[in-house]
Amino acid sequence: MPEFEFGAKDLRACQRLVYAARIATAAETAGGHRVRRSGEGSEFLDYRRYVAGDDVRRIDWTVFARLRQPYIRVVQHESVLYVSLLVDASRSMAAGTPQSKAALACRLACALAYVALGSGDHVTAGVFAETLGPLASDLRGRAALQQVVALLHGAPLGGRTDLAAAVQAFCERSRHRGLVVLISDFLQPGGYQEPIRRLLAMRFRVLAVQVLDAVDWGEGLEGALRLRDSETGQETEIIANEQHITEYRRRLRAHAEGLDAYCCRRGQFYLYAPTREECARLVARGLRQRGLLR
Amino acid sequence: MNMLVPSALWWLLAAVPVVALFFLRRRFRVHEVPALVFWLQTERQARFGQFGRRLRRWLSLLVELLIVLALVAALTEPARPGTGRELTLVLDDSATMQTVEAGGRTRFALAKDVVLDRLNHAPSGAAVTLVLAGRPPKLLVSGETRPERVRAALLSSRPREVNPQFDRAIALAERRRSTRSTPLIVVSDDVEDPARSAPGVEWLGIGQRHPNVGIAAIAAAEGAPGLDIILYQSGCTGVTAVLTISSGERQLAQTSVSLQQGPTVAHLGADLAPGQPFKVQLGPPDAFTLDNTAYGMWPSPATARIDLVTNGNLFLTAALEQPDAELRTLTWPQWQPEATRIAVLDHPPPGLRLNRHGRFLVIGGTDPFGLLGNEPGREDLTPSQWRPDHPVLRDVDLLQWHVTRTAGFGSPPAAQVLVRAGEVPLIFSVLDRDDPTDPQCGFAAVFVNFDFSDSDVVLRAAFPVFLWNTVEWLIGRRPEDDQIASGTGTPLSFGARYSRPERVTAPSGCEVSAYLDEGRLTLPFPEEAGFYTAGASPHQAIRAVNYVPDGRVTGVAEPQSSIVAHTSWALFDWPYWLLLVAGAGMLLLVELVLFQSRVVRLD
Repeated sequence: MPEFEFGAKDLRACQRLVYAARIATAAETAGGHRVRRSGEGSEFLDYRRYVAGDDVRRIDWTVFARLRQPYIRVVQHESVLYVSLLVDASRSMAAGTPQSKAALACRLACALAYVALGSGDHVTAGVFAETLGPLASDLRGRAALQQVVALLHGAPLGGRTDLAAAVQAFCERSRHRGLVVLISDFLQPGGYQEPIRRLLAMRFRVLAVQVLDAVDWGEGLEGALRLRDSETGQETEIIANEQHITEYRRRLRAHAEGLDAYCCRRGQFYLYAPTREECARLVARGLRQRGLLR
Repeated sequence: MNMLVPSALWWLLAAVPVVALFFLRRRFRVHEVPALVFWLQTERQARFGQFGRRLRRWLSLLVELLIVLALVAALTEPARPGTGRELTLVLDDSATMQTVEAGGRTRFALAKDVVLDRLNHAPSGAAVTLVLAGRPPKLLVSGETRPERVRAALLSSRPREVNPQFDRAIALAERRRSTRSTPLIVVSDDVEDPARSAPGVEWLGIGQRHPNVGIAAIAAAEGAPGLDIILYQSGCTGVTAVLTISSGERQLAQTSVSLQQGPTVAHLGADLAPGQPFKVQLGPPDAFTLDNTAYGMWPSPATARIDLVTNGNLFLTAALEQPDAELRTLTWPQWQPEATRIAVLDHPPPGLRLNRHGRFLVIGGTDPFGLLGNEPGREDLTPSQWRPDHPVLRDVDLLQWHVTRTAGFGSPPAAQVLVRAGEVPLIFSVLDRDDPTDPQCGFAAVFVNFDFSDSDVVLRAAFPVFLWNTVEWLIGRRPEDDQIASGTGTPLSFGARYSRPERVTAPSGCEVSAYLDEGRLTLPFPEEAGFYTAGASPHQAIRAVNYVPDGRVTGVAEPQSSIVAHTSWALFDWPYWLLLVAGAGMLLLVELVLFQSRVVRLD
């Protein structure tokens, strides 16, 4: 992966951020996320009437003796969140100005890991291209951010993107359900539907971060060009004019909007991350506006 | 397969830039993109696979190279080897072919017999090409295989009153032949020039050597009324010729001349009126009668009718009094403008107003036409710029002129300044004619921006020259009008006043084309002797021409007889430039169709 900088500015932007509580519904073990849930817990919130299906063991008998009506105690339930960061390290991520798509992807991964580690959640990080690389699993505590950075730095950049294979490998190796953050340009020929559907079937929550650069939008293309796919080496020749570029951008925009709509329809999250944007701004504004962080 | 023009193979080098341009145009700039998936999502891209695209690319080059090859093949004029079934002849139809030979037949008729004899002995189905060698050469038939058509074309031809042009005629015939190795036949009465002996060309001589006497030129006699006739005799001595001049049906004069070898000048006294056409006959007739008759026209210069309006300028009166001028000297109260006369206005008084119609020379004073602007008078001027090519200033030396004070005329925009001193116009002309071909219509004036009393012009030798140049320019008379118009060769030139090409009627009544050359109508190829008429209006003149050859003795060499028959066919009979344009057009079409359709179109 290329050199990237995750500095004080990014850290400040992530300092007070935590993952929204509804993300933690997928959590399994006790942790720092407080979820409004009936039953046992550490902090009392309220009473509510007993309804069929509630555990009778949760009825507050003291209240029942006084009111002659069954009431259930509602307490603040604390849970832990497992955040898995899968970063695209294929060759197509090397493009981009002023920062490469891979650099922005790494900075976003570090930011999301930092937010998770800061709130006591578990973090798993890994990179993928044609397949999933080694994972840094079950990291806890802010000190573990170094391991994430080291993993991203040490990962090679190259090869083709096979998101489906990477997701399948991740599902086989993951032991905890939680939030899976896919950071990629999502321009692979196989599409994004099947990998996301597999994650949802495995009861993961999904955040799709699509990193695109101006070159992806056809900027600077003009005249007779032989376009070469950076991953497959496939070539085609075009006479690029305004009409062609406009049509190409329309198709790419439809692709990005399709990914966004696909995630939203399934209650998942999508973030468009252009390389011209700062990482801190994307995390602090983009993800907060979408309700992923608060 | 032979190539008539093997040097055209050099055009194969044109394939080099074609190939270079092909690769240059197709040198796509490589651009790496993260994914091609959306570029490839087109119907055309899906339809044509990689192999198809590659094939179309090289097909473009292949077709372009084939076009270049076809073009070069056409330029080389490939032809089959001779099969003994072609007859190529060049027939001299120049003026000397009208010479009457013993037996009373002309050389051209004898030449026709020779050609017909060759036609009769040619193999059946032979392709005949026949070129007439006069100026300019004419292709009578080309590759004709039907003998009746060749005979009809040959019998309809007649000698033209022009000189032969063998080199172009042979070149024209060569282009119709299949190979250079077989000779072509030239039938002519002029085969003596060894410079014409080119390889592959055989000459057939017609006729016998004859002495000849002809009229070479006609000029107006000096010192006595009449004509000086220049005769030329060759091939004989001691001949007495009779010269007769007539006009219409009336004989005007006759004289006898004893001729010597070479040129002889004979005087023929006759009192000819201006513009009168005449015919000069030389007798007795010899074998070549064409140069025994000449036609001409006596010059008819326009008479200058001048009104000099002055308060007693004797210099002007003396300069304008000429024998061929009709001069009236008037004072200002006596003068009434007449459109048919030229008015020389010496110092017009203030308040005089004249219509802008007629011809005027205005010398100083005030502007009587209200045409000129008022400028302050300038003093002590000498001419600094002038137009020496203008007829008004012909043979006028302006270097010594000095003007003490100008009249203050300002030249209008339509004026042509003839003489200026710095920025001050000294002499300028205004021409506003209704009919550009008629000098007597409309308005023409020459303004002299000073009084002669305020200059030393009248003391200069150029003063009367300037005055008469101005008068003649206002009349519309030219120096050549004083000369006899008599054609003595080609081209025929009309000393008439025309501003555009006209149709001219030949002596036979046919209309021929003329072009304008330095103010004169010129017939490129007058082929008939006699009077040529241009137009019918009073302002258009009739002139005459007579073809007179150069007096050369016509002679023949020993006849040679051999006919080499061959046949040929050309792939293309187009001019070279048309072939090149067609080839370039096809290349462009291939570029547009194959190259442009090969690229990815996203729509």
